[in-house]
Amino acid sequence: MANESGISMDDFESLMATSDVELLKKAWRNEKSAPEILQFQTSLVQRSLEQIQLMEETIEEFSKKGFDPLIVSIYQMDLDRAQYMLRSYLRIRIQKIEKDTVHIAKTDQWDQLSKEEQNFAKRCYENMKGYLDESVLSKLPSGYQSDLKQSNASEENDMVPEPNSDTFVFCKSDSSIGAIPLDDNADEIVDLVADDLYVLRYKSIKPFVENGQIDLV
Amino acid sequence: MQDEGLDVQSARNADHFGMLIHHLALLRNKRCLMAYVHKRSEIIQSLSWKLGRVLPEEIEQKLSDPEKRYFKSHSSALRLYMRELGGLDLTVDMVPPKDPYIKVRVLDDIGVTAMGDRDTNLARHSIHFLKRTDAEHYIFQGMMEELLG
Amino acid sequence: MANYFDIDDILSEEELIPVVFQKAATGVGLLDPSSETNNIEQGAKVELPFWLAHELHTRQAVVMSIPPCFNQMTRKEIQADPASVDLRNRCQYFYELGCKIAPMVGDRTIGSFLLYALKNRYKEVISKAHTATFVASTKPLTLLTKEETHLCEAAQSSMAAFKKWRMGGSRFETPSVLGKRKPSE
Repeated sequence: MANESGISMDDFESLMATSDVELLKKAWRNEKSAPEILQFQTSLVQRSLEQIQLMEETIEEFSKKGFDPLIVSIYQMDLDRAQYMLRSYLRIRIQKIEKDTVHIAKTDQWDQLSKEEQNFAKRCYENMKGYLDESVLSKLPSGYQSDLKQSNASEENDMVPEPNSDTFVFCKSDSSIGAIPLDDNADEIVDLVADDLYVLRYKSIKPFVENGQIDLV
Repeated sequence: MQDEGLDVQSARNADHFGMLIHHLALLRNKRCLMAYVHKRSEIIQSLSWKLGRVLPEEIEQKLSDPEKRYFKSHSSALRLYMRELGGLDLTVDMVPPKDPYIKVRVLDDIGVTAMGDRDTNLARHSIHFLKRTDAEHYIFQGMMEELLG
Repeated sequence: MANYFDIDDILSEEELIPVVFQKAATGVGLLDPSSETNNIEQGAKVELPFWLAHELHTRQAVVMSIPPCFNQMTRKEIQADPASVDLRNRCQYFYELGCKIAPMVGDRTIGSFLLYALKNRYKEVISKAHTATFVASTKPLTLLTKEETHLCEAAQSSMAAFKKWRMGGSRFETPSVLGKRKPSE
């Protein structure tokens, strides 16, 4: 049956088993659990988009050629799952940007955004500022009208909410990493063993999440 | 002479602390106001995810003019982002997919609508077997419900 | 301020704290009910909300003392029977306020007292919240602080979500903002 279509089943299998799906799953899970926004996976997202399109075309061809509807719908389900993951990944990021717009814009997290996300963040901030100005800020006494500082007396931006990096996350690692200090003084240390599940402060494992040694779950 | 100097000094201090208290009270009031409008802005953000670009009247009535404008501008910012992505709609697929098709009952007269490659008459109380992504929007808007089993 | 817009954080700072003014202040007599002028004298004892007391404390204008919900009497009651003390009535934001106030008043025992209270109350009340028998008697819920209620609700909702997942219920939900549509409409 497969051979009639011109696309062999084997090709299709290998297409779907590509590690990109696994990479996307990993990026998606990390993004889902991390309190702050992580580095945008530019090329991974690009590849995923292309593969999803390829799968769509393949499925269409399958159904045109009158393949068993059951088989078509199984491929459709697989496509659905990949598409869900990609949408969810992008969505979580956008929702983080909505929430912490100013914080992201003012820190090095800005560089973790894709070009499109940066555009969105800019518009998001303008809209929010316009709304806050109109509703409250413009009606306050001068010296208290800033959307970043409580008053002119504030030395820094003391109105900007930040993601809470003290929050606890579930995580595990493929390989043994060794001792990780849990606080600044290194008073407490945890020895990370491969494939064991841990609940730790995001702050203490952040560098390992960023370099891919620890996965959030 | 020295006493007098002290008096002036402490009077100035008393003025200073009086002023400080007024200043702190102002900051507090600002924080309360801001928290209130900010909380509402978060709700408006989530509305633009769930309801798209048009607000149902019963919700629109409850919003202030700046809030209505914020809803419009925020949902158009979202749409612009999705367009820049190449038209990938992020407002569907909100729950992990299980089956590509689901059974739904229509709650409102929606009329004849293009579903996939054919037109379907979505009359009230009719039951359909639809593509999940097609049905999702209607379910979120309360115009359909998912039938189980 | 990382949680500038956090409404719970704002409310937790609304709690009244007894203070003694170390400096006089003009034009703010309304803070001191016993004052006959519009001023506050040095040495005046008044109760101020935490957000004000805290700022004045750091500028050495007032000295804070420990509010009644952390006094010896409450501590003894909690030690005797952690679960039956009505903390909601004493201070809705018992733990949050405790954490904020501990470094200011220089009382090192507050931290361990908070931990003791949460641990033991958790064991007694909150962990029972998602067992079936508990649903029948909701009375202990009225004794809980905000944070404890959140924990309780989290336990209950994850239990409900787990059951729903196991039974396979509908996963699509209409946003609650739209309200329920009447079938007759």
